[in-house]
Amino acid sequence: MIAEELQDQAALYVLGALDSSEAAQFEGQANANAELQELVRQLRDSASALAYAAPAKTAPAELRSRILDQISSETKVAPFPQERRSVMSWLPWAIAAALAIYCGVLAVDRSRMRESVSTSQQKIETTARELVTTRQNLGAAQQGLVTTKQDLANAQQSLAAGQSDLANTKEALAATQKNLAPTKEDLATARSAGSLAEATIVSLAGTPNAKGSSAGSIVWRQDSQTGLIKLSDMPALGPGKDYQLWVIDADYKDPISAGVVEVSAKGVAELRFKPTRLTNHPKAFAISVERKGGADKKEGPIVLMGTVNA
Amino acid sequence: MAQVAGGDRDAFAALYDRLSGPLYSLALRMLDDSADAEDALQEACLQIWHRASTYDASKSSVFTWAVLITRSRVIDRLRARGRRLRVLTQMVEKEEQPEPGSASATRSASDIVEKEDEASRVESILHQLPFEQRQAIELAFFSHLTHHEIAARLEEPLGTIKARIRRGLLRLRGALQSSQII
Repeated sequence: MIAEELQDQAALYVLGALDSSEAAQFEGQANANAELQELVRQLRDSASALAYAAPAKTAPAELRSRILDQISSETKVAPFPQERRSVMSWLPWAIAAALAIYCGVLAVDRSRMRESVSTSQQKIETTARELVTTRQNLGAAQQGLVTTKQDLANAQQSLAAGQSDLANTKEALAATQKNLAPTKEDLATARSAGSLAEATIVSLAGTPNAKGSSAGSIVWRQDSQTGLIKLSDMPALGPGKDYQLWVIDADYKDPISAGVVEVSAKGVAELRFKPTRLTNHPKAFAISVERKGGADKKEGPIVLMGTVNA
Repeated sequence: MAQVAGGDRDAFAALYDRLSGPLYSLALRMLDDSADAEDALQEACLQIWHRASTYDASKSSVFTWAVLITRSRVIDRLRARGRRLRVLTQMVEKEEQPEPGSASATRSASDIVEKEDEASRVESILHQLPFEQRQAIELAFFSHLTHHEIAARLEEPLGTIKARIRRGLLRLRGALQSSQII
């Protein structure tokens, strides 16, 4: 007795209703089952009867003629006579030999193709690896380019700042030179007169407490303990205030007063001075804003200052 | 068949006369195009002519063998021309028209009686099958659908479709054997 499930498969098989894999599986089972084979045969005959279920139509007469003419025009290979069989008995062997040779050629060709495919695959893999490396390098280069651009931008910014500083410095230098020029003239005059054999020149520059572009210079003569001070662009002070000159000496704790400096309405001053105490090691000169008439000890803010070069 | 295998043109002509009617009807039903059906039948007949020597009477009848060959050529054409979808659509339209069992009921008794040839007897037996069984079998045979496609198409469980086809085909076998048609 054939199982119902196999009967299902047989019915579907003869109708062509199994897909290819199912049909192949069923054929495998049927090959080993004679009873199943017989069922398939019977069901196939039954299924073929379904052709009668189609509406009956008669094939055109000209189709019959066409088919019969076609088979007549073809050379029908008739069975070989018995006496010729011995003569032609080599034919199957010749065909088999030809097939064997052909198979050999195919095998060689297949081997070559495999090698070719293998080589191509290796090339593809190599190319793929190179592509990955190239991409990585490209990424690094792009990153480097970005960094370089940033550095360039920073450098340009620094250059601009430097140029700006340079311009300011040049401006300050020009102002200092401008202030220094009269002093040099005085020094030259004094030297020519032989009165300043050993004179020191000190430039005074504005401190952070200074307002405006005030500047000044001092010609100091150590041997006589006297000096000449010139100031320019000094802001006018409020009532009860005076500028006072100080000498900073390493031997004294506090700056030594060199007197009040009177500034004109145009902000300029020029006078000779002498510190109130002996100064053997003057290090710097300073101008501070003090109370009217000056102070014994420095109290107010320093607005101008210049160091004595050794 | 032995004569046909031996290259007897007259024997082949006789075979053609016996089989061409149902084979052409089958091809026309599946292809729904007379020109295509003629071409398919011509291809099938030439294959029968060339391969007659391979026919094995122990495996099937001549008619079954010829039907198998014709159906294969028709299926090739359906696949090649991509016309399968259109044919299936037309099948749906046709099958939606008759009610279950109405085909045999509306068929006049005299019409059935008058058809004394084998074809009419087979047709009569086919129409005695329950509609659901015949419908599933015909979808497989004429529309070349797999059982999965039939189940999806009829919106029925796969097991139901398998059972309908099996029962229908077994019942058809029994009826045909009783009528000594096969």
